[in-house]
Parts: sequence; C-alpha cells; structure tokens
Amino acid sequence: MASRRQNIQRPGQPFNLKLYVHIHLHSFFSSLGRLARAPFNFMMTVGVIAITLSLPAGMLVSIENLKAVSGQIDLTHNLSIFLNHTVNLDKAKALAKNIESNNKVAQTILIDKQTALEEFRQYSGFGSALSSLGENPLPHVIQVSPVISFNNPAALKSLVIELKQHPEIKLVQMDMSWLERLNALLHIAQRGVTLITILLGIAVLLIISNTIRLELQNRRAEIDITRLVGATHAFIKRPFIYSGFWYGLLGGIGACLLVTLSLWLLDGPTNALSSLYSSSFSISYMSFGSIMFWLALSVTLGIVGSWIVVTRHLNDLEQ
Amino acid sequence: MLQFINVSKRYPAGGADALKNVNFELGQGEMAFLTGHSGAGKSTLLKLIALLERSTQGQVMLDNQNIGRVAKRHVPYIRRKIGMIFQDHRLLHDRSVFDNVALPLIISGHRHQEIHRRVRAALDKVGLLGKEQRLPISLSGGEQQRVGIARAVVNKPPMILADEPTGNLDPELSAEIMQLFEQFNQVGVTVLIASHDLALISRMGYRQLTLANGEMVTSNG
Ligand SMILES: Nc1ncnc2c1ncn2[C@@H]1O[C@H](COP(=O)(O)OP(=O)(O)O)[C@@H](O)[C@H]1O
Ligand SMILES: [Mg+2]
Repeated sequence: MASRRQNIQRPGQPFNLKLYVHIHLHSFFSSLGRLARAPFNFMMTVGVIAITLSLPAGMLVSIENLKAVSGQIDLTHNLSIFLNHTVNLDKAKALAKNIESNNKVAQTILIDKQTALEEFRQYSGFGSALSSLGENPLPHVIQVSPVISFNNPAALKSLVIELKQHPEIKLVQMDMSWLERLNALLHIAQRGVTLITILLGIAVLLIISNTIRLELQNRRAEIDITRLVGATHAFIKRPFIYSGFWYGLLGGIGACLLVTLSLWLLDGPTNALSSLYSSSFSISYMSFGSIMFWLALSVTLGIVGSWIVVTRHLNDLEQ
Repeated sequence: MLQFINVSKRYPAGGADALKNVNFELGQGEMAFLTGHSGAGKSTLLKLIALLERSTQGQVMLDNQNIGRVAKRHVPYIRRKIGMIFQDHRLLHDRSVFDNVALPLIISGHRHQEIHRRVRAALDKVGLLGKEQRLPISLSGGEQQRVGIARAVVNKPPMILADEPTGNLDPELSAEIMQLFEQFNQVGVTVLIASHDLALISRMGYRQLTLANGEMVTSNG
C-alpha cells in the first residue's frame, strides 16, 4: 500500500526542511518544559555542573591575571652590578658613565657604599650590629636600566656577559630571576589546570550521564509506548539529548557567573593593593573567547553524555 | 496482506514452543478473530506481526515482505503500518487524551493543524469528542480502551491488531467496542482481534483462527 503520510525520517523520501525544523523546535522546547517541571532536581544538577566547571575556569583566569602581573614587572626589570671592594668611588663613577654610554643601556645609577650603608642601617634594624663591624662590608653598586628594546631575557643575558668583561665587576645580578621562576611556575600551573580540566570534564560527563540515566528510568513506560506506535530511535533520543544540552548550557553559564562573581569580589582589594604599589594593574575578567570555550565545552559534554547513555539504553533493548 | 508460513516461536526463557509451525493467510480488508485458551499463543502471534518479538522459524509476510528479516532500524516504519490495541490500553497516564492520540502523528512528523484535525476526527469516531483535555485516569475502562483505539487508527494504518481489547469490559461495552472494529473494517482496514469471548465472537460471525498449545487448529470461518 502506498503511504500518504509525510515521513521526514524515512530514507528515500524527499527531505522536508520546514518539517524537520518544526520537529526539532518542538522537542527542543518541550525538553526545557519538562526540566522546568522538576525545578529542584534540575537546578541541583545544574549547580553541581557549574561548581565543577568553575574550578578549572577560575584557575585559568587567575593564571592569566598572574601572567599579566609578571608581564608588567617585565618592563621594569633592572641589572644590579656589584663592584669589587678594591674599586674606589671615582673609578666606580667612571665605570657607571662608561656603562651608560653603551647603546644597550638607558640609564645607570651609582649607589656608593657609604649611602648604601646609611640606608641599610636606617631600614634594616641591624644598625648596632653593623657599627660593631668597624669596616663597611658593602660594595659600590651600579643599577643599570637597559633600553626598552633590550628588555627581553635573551638580550639581557648578552648584556650581562658583556658587562662581566669589566675586571672591576664582581657580580651582575638580574632582578628578573625570580620572575623567570614565577613564569615557570605559572607554566606548570597551566599544565596542572589542563589536567584538572580533563578530570573535572569527565566528572561533568558522569554527572550528566547519571542524571539522564535516571530520567530514562523514570520515563521507561513512555519510551516503551512511544516505540510501540513506531517511534524511531532518533525520535526517542532527541528529547534526552536536548536535556543534556540544557544541563550543559546552564551549567556552563553558571560556572562563568561563579568565576565572574569571585573575580568581582577580588576586584576592590586588588585595586587597593596595586595602587599601593603605584601599579596600573587591575583584574581582568573572563574574556569573550574563554566564556565561549567553557560554554562550548559544557554543552558538548552535556550532549555527548546524554547521547552515550540513551544510545546504550536503546541498543540494549531487544526489538 | 498478511501470511504466516511455517512460523514457530520459542522464547529464550520458556521451554516449549509458544507457536508451532503456524500457517495462515489474511486477505486485504479482511476481519478475523484469533481465539484459544489462555497461553495458547495469541499474544505471541500478534507480537510477531508488530515485531515486538521475532519468529525463531518460518516467515511472517506483510505486504509480501518477510518482516522477520528486516533490520532493527526499519522496525518503526513497519509498526506505523499497524495499529496496535492492548487489553491494558498502554496509555501515557501523565498526558491528556489529546496528547495520547496525537503520539503516532507526532512521531511521524505531521503538522500542527493536521494533527489537530486528525485527532479530533479519531476521537469523534470513538465517541470521545469533548474529552481531549482529560487525563486517561479520569475516564472509565471502556473510555480508556476507546482512547487506545483512537490512537491506533489516527494515522490511518491499513491493519489493526487488537489483543483482548474487551478483556476487562462488561458485555454491553464489549459489543460496542467490537462494533467500532467492524466500522473500521467496513472502510477497508484489515482487522485481527485476539479474544476468548467465544459467545460474542460467534454472534458476530467473522472468520475464526483458533490456537491450541501454539498450534493453529482451525484457520477458516
Ligand atoms: N516473554 C516470554 N518469555 C517466555 N515465555 C513466554 C513469554 N511470553 C509468553 N510466553 C509463553 O508463551 C506461551 C504463549 O503465551 P501467549 O502468547 O501470551 O498466550 P495467550 O496470549 O494466548 O494467552 C505461554 O506458554 C507463555 O507462558
Ligand atoms: Mg495474551
């Protein structure tokens, strides 16, 4: 017998886009309606997903902020040159001039050992201990600010090697070595966050799978009856996959809100702190790109998690 | 339309064959009753047609297609050609009468207006117009069975299978339900009804297929 029914899913019949969109919109919104009918369960799952994802998202944005801080310090790092004890003040002054004439150097400041000692005595609290030493233990120090274009680690190192040629110089210290350490730490932290993201991503996948599995169990009779009247697997899967989509989307939005809220709470204290150091640093929030990343990730996890569970369930059925 | 050729069915769990070497044919537009004692294999036979079970041996031919062989993914399309009615109605109890009857149309992707028109027509036929928004629980047993029938016929299948549709109803309601099936048969639908209400069946005078212990003992009226 010839079927007069329009049947969008049957292979070999012309594809009807309008009908296709209509069916999808129908189950898209009916899935949301169904979730809204059990708002407590729904919000609980969304909340768990949001908190789980906010951990790696928050860590990542913190690392970005720390990187910005270290990037700012990068621009101001200097070299300290410690001279031999045998070098007298005149020679030190001449050397400072000499170094300043190097085209890689913007400026030099000579801190003579007498001034250094006074300052140290004043601020360190070791005043009396220093007096008992008799002789000034400090050397003359020249502080070197390189020209901006030489303000990268490799160029700076070549400058250090050049300076070390001078016999009067005992030690050249880069003030940036702690910065390199910080950057290395941030690099490791970033890897750690990648690992944490993978683990917590799997956790979200399991949360969503389990939620969808419970939903499948609750709607067992409905699924059986729907199959009885000729529903395809695709038709039965669709609302569950949309449920997964909603869990993922709302969980992702929740995670971004949590991170933003936390950053906002830190914003005031951070501004106070950075103005204390006369730094222009202020907290940067999640970028549009990273918000999109976390939303895409959680939506993908939602869809994949529900798809796996529903497909397995339907394939396990006999007929 | 429908033909069983040496069909046997053995359930993986059960020992004996639920159906043994069954042969019969049902022509297009024909109406027949399937009778037999409890456990004779009536439900099993209907399940083989709707592909709720598969035969262990033999061929079940529907429209000259051996449906025992079709791939799982084609099963839904075969079920859409068959309106199934059950003794326990199999309705969705948290959905309105309208939604229950609309289900076969929704899964095959009909338009909104079309669904409305056809659901109302089907409910009109079974005498339930005006009860679209009721929940099945709030209806009587006979009315619930009518909802099941409306759902089975709403997408105009060429064949209706009913498994003890009057099993829980009093004689008067049973007769009314049977009359509904007669009306569908009169407009060309092939009807096969499993029942052990022998008095009612013989009064109606249609062809009888009788099963006993899984064997077809009579297959002509
Ligand atoms: N799912 C099943 N698993 C095992 N045995 C079954 C199953 N369904 C039915 N049977 C057996 O098959 C035989 C026929 O059952 P059925 O077709 O339900 O008979 P009827 O509908 O005529 O009462 C019975 O012996 C029954 O116990
Ligand atoms: Mg039975």
